[in-house]
Amino acid sequence: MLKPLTNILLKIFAKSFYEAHAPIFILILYIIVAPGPPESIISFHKSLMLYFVAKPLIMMIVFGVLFLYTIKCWHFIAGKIHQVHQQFLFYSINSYTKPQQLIGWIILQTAVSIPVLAYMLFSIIIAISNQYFLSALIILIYLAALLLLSALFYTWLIHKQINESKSSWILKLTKRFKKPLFTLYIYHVFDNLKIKYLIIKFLSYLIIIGVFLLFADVKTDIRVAAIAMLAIAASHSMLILDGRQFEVTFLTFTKTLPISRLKFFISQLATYSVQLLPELVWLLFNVSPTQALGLYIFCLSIVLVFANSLYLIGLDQEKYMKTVFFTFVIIFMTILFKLMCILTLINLTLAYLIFYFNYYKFKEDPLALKYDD
Amino acid sequence: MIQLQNFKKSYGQYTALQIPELHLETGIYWIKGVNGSGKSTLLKSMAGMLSFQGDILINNQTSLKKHPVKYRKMVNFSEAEPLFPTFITGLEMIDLFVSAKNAPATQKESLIEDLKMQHYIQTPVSSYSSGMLKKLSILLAFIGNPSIILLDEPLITIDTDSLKVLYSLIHKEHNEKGTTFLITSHQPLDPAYLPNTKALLVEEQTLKIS
Repeated sequence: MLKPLTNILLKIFAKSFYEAHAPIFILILYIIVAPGPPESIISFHKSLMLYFVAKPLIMMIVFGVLFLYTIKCWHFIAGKIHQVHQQFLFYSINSYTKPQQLIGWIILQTAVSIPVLAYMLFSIIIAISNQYFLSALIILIYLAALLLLSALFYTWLIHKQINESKSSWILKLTKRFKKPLFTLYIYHVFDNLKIKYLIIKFLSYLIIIGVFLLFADVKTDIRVAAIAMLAIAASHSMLILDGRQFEVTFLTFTKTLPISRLKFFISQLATYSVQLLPELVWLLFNVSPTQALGLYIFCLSIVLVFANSLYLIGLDQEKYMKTVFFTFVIIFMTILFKLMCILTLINLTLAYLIFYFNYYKFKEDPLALKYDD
Repeated sequence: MIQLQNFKKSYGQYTALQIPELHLETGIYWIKGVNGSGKSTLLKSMAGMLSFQGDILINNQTSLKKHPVKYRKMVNFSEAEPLFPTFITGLEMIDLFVSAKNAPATQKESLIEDLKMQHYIQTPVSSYSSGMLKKLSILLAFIGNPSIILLDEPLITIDTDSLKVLYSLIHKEHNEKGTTFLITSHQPLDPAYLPNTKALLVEEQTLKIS
């Protein structure tokens, strides 16, 4: 049975870490195992492992990747530590002795690093079996150092006093501006989800470039751009899920405001229009203005379908990812028939109808249940 | 004034609250009941935050289900444990409510002054204590020209001076505008400030006039 400290840390952080990153892990797993038959994949990875245990420079690159992964873990866990629901940690786990705390955090870091640790342990076995004992030792020490460094970082974080008053530069800059309803999630993104937003925008850029490279022979075909828009909308799926989470947590009061559902829907449309502005800018520089606007609205309509599906299915990540996947497949097929205009209209209508009939129905309201008295 | 028709609120298979028929005239109502009896569920449903079966009508005309916007203009609500976006300032929250509820421009100043919130109203709510947050939530419930104000556990968390201000605000709003108040609390409302309070009891998954 797990000790109470380990139990609570794993439940709070490890579980949500894998839930939040499940799509990325699935994608990476797909990239690793998809290219060929199992024997050739195993043989490829064996050679790869042997390559980096034998070449110090390549090993340094692998260490760099491991460090980036660790930073990603730090970023996620540090963000979660400061959430309202986790603030009890600041006056509970501090009472454990320092070694007990460090062990707890090391176990957590090990848990969130299982995919990379498993890969690296195999490389250690390969190194030993090929008599690269020093490389095996260096990898082992490096992994242990990363785990310990992470534990020290988390312990430092939990002992550091919370500074609630610090706000991001964008909030300082826009202090004097009014904050209409539609801007709240945008401000939240710039206040709390900056890294995620930047990663999504980078991914979005890669998608555009990738799709056009993939279909270089037919890149003037509007369907290619439409497929890129569909992929961009899908790459925003986690940000959309965060948006709904934000609404359920902090905007429940809006349900009591005398604002029509149409206005709420327009507000939602405005929120995502702003979030997709970087894509619009890219489109304006690369296709004709009419096409750019059409593709932008097409992308927006898909985003709205994803966003409003959450009113229908609730905050269930698994169901949501399935919805995104099936919507992706259906829209992809429709694009092949060049039905983007009709599809945009259908998407917008569908999104609004789902919103209209489900906005006042609660699929979940954890806070309402939590505070129910 | 306010009428509940075949009201039923369930969480899955569990019926949390069931009120077949209830008419409440204009007044100040103290809603009491043990923890978990469904007091907050009732207020959240009446505020339009929680979905439920049945309907709620104001003056036999305005239905929560059929006239969602008009109903919400007439009903204001203060949550027991409010949560607002952390980066937004108290004043920005108030401005949002002023605009949504079409409140007169001068109303917010007098409320901020009455509740003595001037010195922190322009700072983000992330810096607020639970008492400050509660006062902000109570202030928001007085914005506009509501016919009904629902206050969920307003007596806890706020300081004694603010409590006196709250009592006088309720008294003034009720006497001058005829606003109906439904207030949940484990403590009785002070009769020195609110002498004509009627009590309602939530127990056995229903609401009883006690």
